[in-house]
Order: sequence, then C-alpha cells, then structure tokens
Amino acid sequence: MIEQALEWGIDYVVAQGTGKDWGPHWLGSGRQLPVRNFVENVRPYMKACHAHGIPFILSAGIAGARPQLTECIAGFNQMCREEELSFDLGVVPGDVDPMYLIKRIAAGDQIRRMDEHPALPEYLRAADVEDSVHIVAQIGPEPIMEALDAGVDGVVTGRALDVGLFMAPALRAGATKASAALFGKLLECGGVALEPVDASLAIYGELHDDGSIVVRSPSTEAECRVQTLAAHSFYERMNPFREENPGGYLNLDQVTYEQLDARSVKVSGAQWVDTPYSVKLEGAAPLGYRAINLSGARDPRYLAHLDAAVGRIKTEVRASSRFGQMVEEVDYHLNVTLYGRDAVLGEAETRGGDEHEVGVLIDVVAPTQALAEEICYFAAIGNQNWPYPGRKTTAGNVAQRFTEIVNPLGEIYRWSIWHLLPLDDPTEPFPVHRLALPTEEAVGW
Amino acid sequence: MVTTLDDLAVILRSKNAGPFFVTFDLIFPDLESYRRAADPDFLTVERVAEVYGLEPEEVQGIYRQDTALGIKITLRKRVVAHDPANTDVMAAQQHLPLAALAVPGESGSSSSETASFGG
Repeated sequence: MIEQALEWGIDYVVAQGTGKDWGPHWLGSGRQLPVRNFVENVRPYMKACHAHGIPFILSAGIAGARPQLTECIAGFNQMCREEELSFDLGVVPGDVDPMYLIKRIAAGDQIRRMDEHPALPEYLRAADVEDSVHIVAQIGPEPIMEALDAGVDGVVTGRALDVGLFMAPALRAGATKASAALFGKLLECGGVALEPVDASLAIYGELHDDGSIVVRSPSTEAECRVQTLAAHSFYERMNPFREENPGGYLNLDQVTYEQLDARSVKVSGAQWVDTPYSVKLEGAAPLGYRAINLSGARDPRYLAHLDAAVGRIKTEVRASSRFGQMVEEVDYHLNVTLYGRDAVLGEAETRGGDEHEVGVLIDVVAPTQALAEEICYFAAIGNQNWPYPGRKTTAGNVAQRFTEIVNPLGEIYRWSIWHLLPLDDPTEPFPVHRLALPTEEAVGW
Repeated sequence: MVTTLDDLAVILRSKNAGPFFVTFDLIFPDLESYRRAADPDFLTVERVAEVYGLEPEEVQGIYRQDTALGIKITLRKRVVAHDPANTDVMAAQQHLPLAALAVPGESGSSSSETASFGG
C-alpha cells in the first residue's frame, strides 16, 4: 500500500488522531487509548517519511490536550530511537489557556455556542472556563502552515480540525480554500471512505491545478467508488451539504463525482463561503463520581414485578433517612437500565413484555465516590432482598454478577464548553514548538 | 406485505453528530428505492418526529443527496451524550424505530423478517 503510493508520488503524509466521538471523559481525565496504538499506527509511515524525506502532519491523543499529546510525543520519540529516525519536529498544542479566555470574556468578546442546544449556555461564561479541567481548540490549518514554513520535517498537533491537517499543505501549494477543504473532507478518514470500509487502510489524493481532486485507493484490497465516497460526506455530520470550518464553510451542493476506474474517482465543484474566523473550543468539567451494580433477573414472578421493583429502588432511596435530605437529579443521579427490555431505545422502544431474562444495571452518580457507592449499595442490597407480592425466592430476588457488589467507576465528566472562539489571528493562541528527535531527555515544551 | 426503510436501504445507521444531535444515514442501492424512500410526501418532518416521540422543531433537518442515493436525518437530542441517563453514548443503535417505518408503494424485495423490527 505504501509502496504503491510511493510509486504514484507522495508530497505529504497526513493522519488524524483526535476526535470527540468518545465523549468528554478523556478530555476531563487526561487519559487516552494505550499510546502504543498511536505509535504502531504511524510507525511504517514514519519509516517511509524518513527514508524518502517526505514531510508529515499528524494530530494525536484523541482528546488532544496536553497530557495526551505529551504522552504521544514521548511514544513517538521512543519509536524514533528504536528505528533510528531523526526528525526536526514541529509540535502544535491545541490547549487554550483558561486565563486567556477569561480575559476575552471580561473584555466583552462573545464566544457563542457551536450548536443551538438548550444544554449549552448561549455564550461562554467565566464560570464555564473555571469549571473545566482541560480546554482545547480544534486548531485550523494556519498554525500548521506556520510550522511547515519554518522548515520542520514534520508536525504533530494536539486537538485539530481533521480537514485542516490536509488544508495546510494544499493551501501552501496555492490551492483555493474550496479545493483545499474538499481535499481534506474526502481524505480525512482514510480507508473509511473506501469500499469495503476499512479504517486501517490508507487513501491517496491528488490535487490538480484546475482545483479538481482525484481520490485513489492505494490498496488492491479496496476500491474507490463514487457512491461510497459521496456517502462518506454524510458521516457524523448534521448536514451533508454544508461543512463549517474556521473562516468559512464548504458548500457541497454542486460537487460532482466521476468514476475513473475501480480504484479512482475524480471530484470537483466545491465552493467556499467566507465567514468570520473562529475555532471550536472543547472543555470538560467534572460531573461527579459513578458506582454501578449489575445483576440478572430470571424469576418470572420477579420479572412480572420488575417495573414496580425499579420504581421502588428510586422511592426507597428518596425516602431513606440516610439520603432523603438530598434531591434526586440535583444532588445525585440514580438510573436503572434494564438490558433485555428497553435499555437501548428507552421510550422509543415498541417491543417487549415477553422477556425470560433481564439485566439490571443500577447506576449512581454522586458528588463523591464514597457517596455514589453508599447509594448504590443501598439500592442494590435493597433490590436483592425487598419482598414483592407472590415471592417464593426469599433468599434473593436477582443473580448478582460480581462479588464486588458495587463497582466504582471513578470520576465522570460533561461537555462544559462547546463554543466558537473568534480569532483575529488564527495562529495567536497556538505557538509552534520545535523538538529535535530522538532525544534522551523527557519531551516537553 | 409491508415494505420498510430497512428493506430498501443498504446502509441504515445512527451516530452522534456532536454530543447534542443524533444523525441517521440511509444509503440506497438504486435510484428507484432511493426515490421511494426520499418521496417528500412520505418522509416528512412530522412523520420522523412521530416515530421518535419528538416535536417537529426537534427535527433539525432531512437532507436528500442524489449522488450518494442517500438521505440524512438529524434530530436534536433530549438526553445528550454525557447525560448520566444516556444508555447509547455514541447513539449507534437509535436507528431501529426509523428502520421499521413502513414505506408506501408497491411491495419490492421485502422479506418476512421485516415484521420483527419494532413489533
């Protein structure tokens, strides 16, 4: 696959490794997938880049905040030592200093929510910034262009706009914003846009002088098809025709696709409409601590009584002398999820009533881990033992799955910031740092 | 025999479009089944809202893309991705009520398994 692409000619190797699909947990906790995943994914490409002098642009760390980026760069450095690769590396973190935001808010700058949803404050407040553990921006192409202009061998960013990673080299080569952004949109997910869909495969794109793009599958195991490529423009987006980017949106209304052969498609016709420049901010704030209990309900008499049993769990906690002074949904959250009944679809579920077995998940979120566990114990032991009409199983109502009746899941987080930060200078909060790799020292900037 | 969207589509999936919206992608194998499903008299904001028990203003959009033979539907979430009560964090299994929606018109390649969706 890499050999085929080398034969066609490679100007840049680009890969995205940040995203918000996994929720706010990693942004809040500072954790990520095992860093070895990142290192092994990029290793063959970095060896090829080194051997052929090809510049590379990678984003890394999923949530892409300082803890994850530092860990990824340390892993990258270790790989450089193992493979005897030397790089003059540009590092562009996506972290945004909370004090910078608080000053902007105090100065009256309006940082508006990215999505029109009542769960988000319309404009970012100082309190939202103060609540957040980590705040990152999806950096645009400009800080990456600055790093490339400085002559680095390659760039690794923290949280970044996927499309922007591809736009940076395209814009430096003189492409229009429309072509550069379309180029990024087609290539950003690699083999996910190919047939069959396979994220482990690479994709190859040529940007032509007339603004058209040819997308190819460098692997003989995958085809590049008009319908798959067009359908890919749907993925995880609200609107398949309008792609919001920093400084403008990509209008895909007039895009045309032409099948050249089984492994290549020509795409053209995107338009770019300028808007004021802003980057998306993401912040995660603690929501509490979680503890869970999992049991199985099998006895038909108990199953017939299950809805009432679930109601009783909530009522007993509210009525108890230990927890009764607290308010559910404010001071703590108690949810019972019934796997086998309506766990996945909730009120939208239309089937049910004939289950022979149901998994009962008692899920508590409270301000401290100890309190979450206390409430969860109270609920789980109660549900195990409370009598119900017609019961014969006086030794226990349900089958406990774990000897640790209550399992602590630790701190959980919410999206506290999901807003658009206007910037006069797209590179301002995102300085480029340079690292000479490999190094024997701890990596940092 | 009732034909459902599940019978017609080759891809029928749900996923987060950010933490506050869920989006459905329906891709069809041919122009005929695409046109049948995309018929503006059939696939209305009101009908989609009804399937998910929402108000029409909670349907953010229904988009039809002829090149991809695809339809995209985006809904505003009541229970957002990080809500402690959310049981489908990535919203990857919310497509089933939509899949079970009966499509008017002549019976195509519908199978007897159809009836098992949504009950």
